[in-house]
Amino acid sequence: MRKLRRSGKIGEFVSIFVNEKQRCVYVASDGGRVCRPLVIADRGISRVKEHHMKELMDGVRTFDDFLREGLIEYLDVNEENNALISLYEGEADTDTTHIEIEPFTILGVCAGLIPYPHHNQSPRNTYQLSRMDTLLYLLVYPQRPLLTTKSIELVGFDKLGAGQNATVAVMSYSGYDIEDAIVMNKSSLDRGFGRCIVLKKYSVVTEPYDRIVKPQMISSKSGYVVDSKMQILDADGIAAPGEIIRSHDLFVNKHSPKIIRDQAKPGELRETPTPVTYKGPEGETTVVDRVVLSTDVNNRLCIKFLVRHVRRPELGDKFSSRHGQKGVCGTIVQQEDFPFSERGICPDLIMNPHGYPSRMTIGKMIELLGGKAGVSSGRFHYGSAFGEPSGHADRVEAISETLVKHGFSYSGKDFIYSGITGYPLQAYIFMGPIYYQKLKHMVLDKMHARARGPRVTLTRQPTEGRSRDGGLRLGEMERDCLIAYGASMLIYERLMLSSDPYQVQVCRTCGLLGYYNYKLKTAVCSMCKNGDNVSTMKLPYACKLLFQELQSMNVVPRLKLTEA
Amino acid sequence: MNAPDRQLHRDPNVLFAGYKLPHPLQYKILLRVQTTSQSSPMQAYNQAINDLDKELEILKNAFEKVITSQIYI
Amino acid sequence: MKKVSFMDMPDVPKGQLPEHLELQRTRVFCGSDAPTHSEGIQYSGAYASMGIDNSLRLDSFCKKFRVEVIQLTEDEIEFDMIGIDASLANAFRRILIAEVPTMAIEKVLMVNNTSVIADEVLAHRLGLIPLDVDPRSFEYFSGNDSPNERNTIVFKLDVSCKKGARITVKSDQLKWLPNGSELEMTTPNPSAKPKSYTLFTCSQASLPEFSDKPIGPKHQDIIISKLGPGQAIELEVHAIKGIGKTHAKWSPVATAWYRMLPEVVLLKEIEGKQAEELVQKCPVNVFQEIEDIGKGKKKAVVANPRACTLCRECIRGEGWEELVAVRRVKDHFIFRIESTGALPPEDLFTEAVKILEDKCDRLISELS
Repeated sequence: MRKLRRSGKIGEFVSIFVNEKQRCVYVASDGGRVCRPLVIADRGISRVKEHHMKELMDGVRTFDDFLREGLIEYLDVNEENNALISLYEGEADTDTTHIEIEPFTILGVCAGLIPYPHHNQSPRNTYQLSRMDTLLYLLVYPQRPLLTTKSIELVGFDKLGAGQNATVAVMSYSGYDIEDAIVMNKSSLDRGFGRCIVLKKYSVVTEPYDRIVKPQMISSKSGYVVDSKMQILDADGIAAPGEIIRSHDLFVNKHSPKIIRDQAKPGELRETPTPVTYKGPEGETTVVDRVVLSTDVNNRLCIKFLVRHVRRPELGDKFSSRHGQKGVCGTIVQQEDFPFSERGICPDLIMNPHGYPSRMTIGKMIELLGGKAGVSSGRFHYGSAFGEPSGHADRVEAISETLVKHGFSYSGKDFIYSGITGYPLQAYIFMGPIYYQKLKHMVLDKMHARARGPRVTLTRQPTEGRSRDGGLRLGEMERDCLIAYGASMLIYERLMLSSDPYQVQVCRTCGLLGYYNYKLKTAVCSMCKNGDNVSTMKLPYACKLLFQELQSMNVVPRLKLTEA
Repeated sequence: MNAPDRQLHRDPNVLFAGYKLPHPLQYKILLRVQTTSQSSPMQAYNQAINDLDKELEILKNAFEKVITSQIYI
Repeated sequence: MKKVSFMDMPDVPKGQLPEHLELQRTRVFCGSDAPTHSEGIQYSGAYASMGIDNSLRLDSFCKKFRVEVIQLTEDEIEFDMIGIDASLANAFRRILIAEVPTMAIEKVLMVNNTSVIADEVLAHRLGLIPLDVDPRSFEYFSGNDSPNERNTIVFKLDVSCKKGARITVKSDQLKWLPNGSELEMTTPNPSAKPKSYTLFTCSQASLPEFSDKPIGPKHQDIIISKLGPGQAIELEVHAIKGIGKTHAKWSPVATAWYRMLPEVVLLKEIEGKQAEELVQKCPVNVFQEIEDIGKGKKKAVVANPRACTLCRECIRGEGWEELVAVRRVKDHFIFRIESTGALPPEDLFTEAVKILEDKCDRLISELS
C-alpha cells in the first residue's frame, strides 16, 4: 500500500500504519493531521542521490517532482512510530527506513527561533514557545539576533525584529536580582534600549441626530480661553492628531438631543452634551496618533482614534531571553555603578547566575559565546537545532577559537572591575550579548489599587476587574487558609465588613426579615404585623439577597436568633 | 566616595572608617569614623579631605604639564 | 644563645616587607580560575607587626606620582597614571561619565511632523545628538529662569520631501538660531504682543566665543529620520546644560575607563619547543622568541606585556601556571577617555579633577 502512495496512485497525505498489538493496519486519510516530509531510505541508502540534488538546484526538478517519484514522502505522527528515522545520512544503517531532510525541521517554526535548543532542558524550550505568544506591540529600535538559526532566516524573523541584543553580565549584583529579576543600566535605557510603543484604539459611534460642536471659548481673566477639558480639540470638535491627551480630556465634543415628549419651551437647551472622555492612568503622556472618520454598517458616523504611548522600561516590566528565562526588571542602576571590563564595556543587563543550575539552559551560554564571537569577528553565527554535524550550527570549539583570536578568554569570562569601588572583582565574569525580548506584561497595565469604590448593583459587593476599579477577590481557597489559622475575626472583617455589610431587622417570633419604619422609628415585622420582637443585626447583603430569592421560590429561610 | 574613605584609612590615628548607602535609590551616605584618643574624628576627616585636595592639585598640575608638553611636541 | 627577634636577623630586609608580601600588596594575581588579592590593603596598621608603616603621606605621594600620555588625538586620549589608588581612579571615571556637564537638546517644540517616526521617538533621537559647544560658557537652567542666551541654545529643523523621492534627514539640517526662538507662544490675550519662547537679550552670535565658530552638532552625518514623498518635519529645539547623572545624553564621554597595567612574568626559563608553543598561544603577541646566544636554543621572552588582554590562554592547560604568572599592578592605571566632541579629552579630565576638588572644598566648608 505504501508503494501505491509513493508512486502517486493514492494521495500523498494518506497515512498507513501497522499496529502490532492490535494486529491491524490503519489507513487514515482525513484532514487535519500534521505530516512531515522525510527522505525514503532503502535499507539505509537514501533514495535521493547527488544528481537529484543538482537537478533541484538547477531548477529542473521541484519538490513536488521528488514526491511523485517516490523519493520523499509525508509521514504523520502514527506512521512515524513504524519508521526508524536517522538524523543524518552518515548515521543511517540497514534498519533505517527514512532520513531527515534537515534536522532542524523536527521542531516547528516557533521552536526554531531558539538557538541551540538541543542543549537546553526540554521544558525550557516549551516555555519559550509560550513566551512568543505574549510578545510585544512595537519596539522602537528592534534588532535581529546575533545568533540566528536556519529557521529564523527561512521564516524571515530576522527582518521582523522582536528584541534587542543586550550585553549581559551573569553575576550577582545589588541583591535586587533575586528570583529571576534583572538589573538594568539606566544609561542604556536613556539611549533607547527596550523602549516600546503601545497603540490602543478607541472608537466613538455617533447616532443620527448627534452633533459635534466646536469647542466654546469662555472668557476668563486673561482673555478667551477654551475650557481645560477641551484643550486638545481641533476646530471641528474632534481631537487633533499629535496632541497629548490626558485623563478626563474630551475626545469628541458631542451633543445628543434630549427626548422631549411635548414641545420644548423656547430657550431651553435641546441637547445635552455627551462628550466622550478619555480614561487613562494619571501621569502618562499619551498622544493621539491617528483619527479616522468612517461609517459603520448602519451608515452612522464612526470616529476611531489610535492613541499611542511610548513606554520606557521601568521597575516591573517583564523581559525574557530566548530560552524561557523570563524576569522582571528589579532595579535600574546608573552606568557608573555598573562593572566594566578591561575594554571599557559596560553591560546593559545583569542576570543572576542562580537561574542556570536548576534550569539547565546551556543554549543560553552558547548563545552568549556565539554572540561575542560574532561581534568580534563581524559575522552572524548559527545555532540551528541539531545542526552541528551539518554545519548549520557552529561548534563551541570553533567559537572559542574565534574568541581567543580576538583576545578574549576561551570561556567567555572577562576580568571585570567594580564600578563602585574601582577594584577588580574577585572572579572572572561571563559577559556577552544575548538576544532579549520585551514581553507584553508591563507594570503600567497591571498596577491597580482600590480603597473604596463602585459596587455591583445586584449584590452591592465591590466590582470586579481593573477597568471597573474593582477589588481583589479573597477566594474560596484563601478562605480555607484563613479558617485553618483560626483567624475568625479576620474572616469576619474581610468577608463582611469590607465587602457588603447590611443592617437587617429580624423578627424573633417568625424568623423572617422585617423592615424599619422611619415614621414610627421602630422596626416592624410584616408577618406578625407588630414590632415587638424585632432585633437588628448585620448580615452581608448577598446573604439577605439569598434569603429573599429563596422566599420567592416558596422556600422559607427562618433565622433563629440567640443572645450573643 | 571611596576616595576619602581610603584617605581615612591611611591615617594611623583612625581605628575605624567605613561608609554605607542605606538604600540604592536614595542618594544618602552614612560615614562612620572612629579614632584613637590622639585625635578627634572631625580632625581626622578634615585632615583626610585636605590631603585629598592637595593630592588633586598635584595631580592636576602634573597632568597639565604633561599635556602641554605633549601638544608642543 | 641570646634571643634575637627574627626581625633583626641578618637576612631579613629591614624597613621593607618580605618579597611575597610586597607582591601581594601591590599586585593582583590573575589565576586561571579567579583573580586574587584584588583588594588593596588600606588599613594603615596592617603591617604594624612587621614594623612597616602603610599609611599615606603627602610627600610620598608627590614622589611616587607620575603621569605619562601615550596617545592623544582630537577625540581620544590614552594616558598612564602611576602612584594613585584605585579609588581615586574610579572617582575620576565616575565623574567623567556622570558629572561633567554638557549641552544637549532637551525641549522639542513640534510644529509639524508627518513622518513615520513618532514625535516622542524623534525627540529622543534629537536629544542624543552631541553638540559641538563648550558647556563652560553656559549656565544651568533652573526651573525659575526664563530661557535666555546664557542658558539655552536654539536650533531649528525644517525639512520637507517633494513627491517622488525619499530623503534622509541628517544632523546637518539642524540650523542654529542665534537670535533665539522664532516660534510664538499662543497667548490668551489676542491684543497683547506675541511672546516667543525665549527671551534673548542679545544675539548669541555676537558673543565672543561663538562669533567665529557657529554652534552645531559635532557630526554632520547623523541620520535623524527618513522622509517619504509629501512628508515634512518642522520643529524647534532648545538645548540646555545638564550632567550625565540625570540622563545619559548629557554625558560628555562616549565612554571612559581604566585598566591596570598588566605584568607578565616568566617564573622559569622557557626554552625550545615550549617557547614556541607559548609564543603561538598568545593572540596579542605578548611573548617573543629570541635566540639565546650562548646555547643556541630559542628562549621565550616577555616582549609586550602592555598588550595583554587577560585571555589567560598562556596559563590554560596543565602545568602552565607554574611557568607563567599573569599579574596586574595595583597602582598603575591606563586611562582611556573617548570624548563625544564637546570638549577635547584632556580638558575633560581637567574638568573632572576640578569637580572633585570642588566637592572636597564644599565638604571642608560644610564641616567647619
